[in-house]
Amino acid sequence: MDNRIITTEEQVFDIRFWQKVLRLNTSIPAIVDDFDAATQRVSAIPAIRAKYVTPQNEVKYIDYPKITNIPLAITKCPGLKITYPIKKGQNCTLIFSQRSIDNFIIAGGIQNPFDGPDPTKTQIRCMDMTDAMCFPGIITSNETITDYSTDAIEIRSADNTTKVSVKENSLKFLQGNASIEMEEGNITMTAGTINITGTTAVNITSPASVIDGKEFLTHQHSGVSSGGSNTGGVA
Amino acid sequence: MEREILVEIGPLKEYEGIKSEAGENYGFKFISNGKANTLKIKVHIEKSIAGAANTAQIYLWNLSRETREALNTPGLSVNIYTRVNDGEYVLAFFGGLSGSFTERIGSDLRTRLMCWSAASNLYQEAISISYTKDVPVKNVVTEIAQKIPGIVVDPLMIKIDGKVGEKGISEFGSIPYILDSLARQYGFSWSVLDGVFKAFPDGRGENTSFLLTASNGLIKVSPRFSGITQVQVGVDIYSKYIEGINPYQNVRIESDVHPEKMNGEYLVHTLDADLCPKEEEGGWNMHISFFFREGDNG
Repeated sequence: MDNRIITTEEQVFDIRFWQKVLRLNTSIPAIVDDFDAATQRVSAIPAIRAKYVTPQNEVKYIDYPKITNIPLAITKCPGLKITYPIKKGQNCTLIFSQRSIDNFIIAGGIQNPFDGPDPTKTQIRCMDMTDAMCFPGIITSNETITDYSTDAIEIRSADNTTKVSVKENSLKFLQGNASIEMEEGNITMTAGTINITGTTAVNITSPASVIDGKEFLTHQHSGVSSGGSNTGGVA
Repeated sequence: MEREILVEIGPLKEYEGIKSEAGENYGFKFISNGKANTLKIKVHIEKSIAGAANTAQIYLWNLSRETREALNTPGLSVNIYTRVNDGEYVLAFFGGLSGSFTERIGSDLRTRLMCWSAASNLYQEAISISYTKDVPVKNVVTEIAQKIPGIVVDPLMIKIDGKVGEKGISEFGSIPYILDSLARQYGFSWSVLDGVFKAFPDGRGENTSFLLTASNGLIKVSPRFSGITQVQVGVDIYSKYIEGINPYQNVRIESDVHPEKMNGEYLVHTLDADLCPKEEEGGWNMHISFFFREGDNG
């Protein structure tokens, strides 16, 4: 559509409206540039460039600015948090607050918006790129997850060799060839070597403890004879 | 009163250099003092503290074809000077040529030159800026202004209070867009006036004051009302054109008409002037507006 051909007031309004809409920030994917683990603040650059047409009708695509001091959004509640490392170069989604969040990110709770030196003469920042909040993790086609589970919640490594998998009726811990699976009331542990160290005791309580096919409570030893000699192996 | 207009155009583009003194360096020079042996010129100038709204329209009569074609070069620098009673030339406008148009009016050919202060400079590029907390806003604005080619950035003309908040500043867009966005947040106004970048907190200016009375040209002072309840939103001042008065300066009104209501000191928010050397063909007047400024809800 040629925006230069304007014949009605409605078209004028439409153009003005869309010019304003183009300046409103809602959310945008971004690339993490830096992460401070101590403050849990992110710096990120929006992943979609802006289009700018110069007065000479030259089209340019320009990087948005790096947004700094972005609070990280994670899953948490009082006393409990799920944390994960944030790496430079990873994708994230920036959500832009509809009001300035300067005071909120310092103290939490309900706060006044950030205001200028003379509040009688200023306007509150709204829908501004400055007021970003970072939600890590958005999947692009070149970074799809292999073996994405369709029936379990998983915390896993990219190559799927290390993971915790939770299903409706099972829980599985996997690392390489070692695994612990809990399913229908049973636990199955599989590993090359399993070491159990009890600094005080290891207690096993079971009506039927089987070791290498031999029932522990009723097992017998070979070579039993009276006297002070040792028994032989388990029969 | 003898009045004279001097218009100098080019040879440089506006963004290529700062204005020179009258008669120093020019591509075209047009002078009119209203007498029959000089060119007929009229000028309308609009200046404001509000962003990039400083324009001038120059009307020139009966130029040659070659001159008209030569003036059809957007971006050429434009200086408009005025002079009264053989005094010094005083700069009335500096900017760039944004377009020209010639039309026939009766037996005359009238060429209209549309000029805009920093026209070719402000919108050349979109920029991205990113600042962390506690940086003085004055520094941010100064650095942005320094990205505008061909203008003077004088620290004395940038007086902005406050520091960047906890979240920092991240902005993208044309320079006017970013400056307007910061101006709303931090309560200041900015403008490129005659090639000089200026930014002052709302309600404050350069601290220079001109006395305006009936004896030196004051014509009328009237309140400006708006809305259903007719709330006063400002003051309009009409007077003869006085050289040197510009936005960000104060005018002090002393009048016998409603002195208790209208006399006082007003910051020049906008100024528009109609200038014509020939008295019977046009005025030599200016109109100043002052607005009350309040913060916005939100």
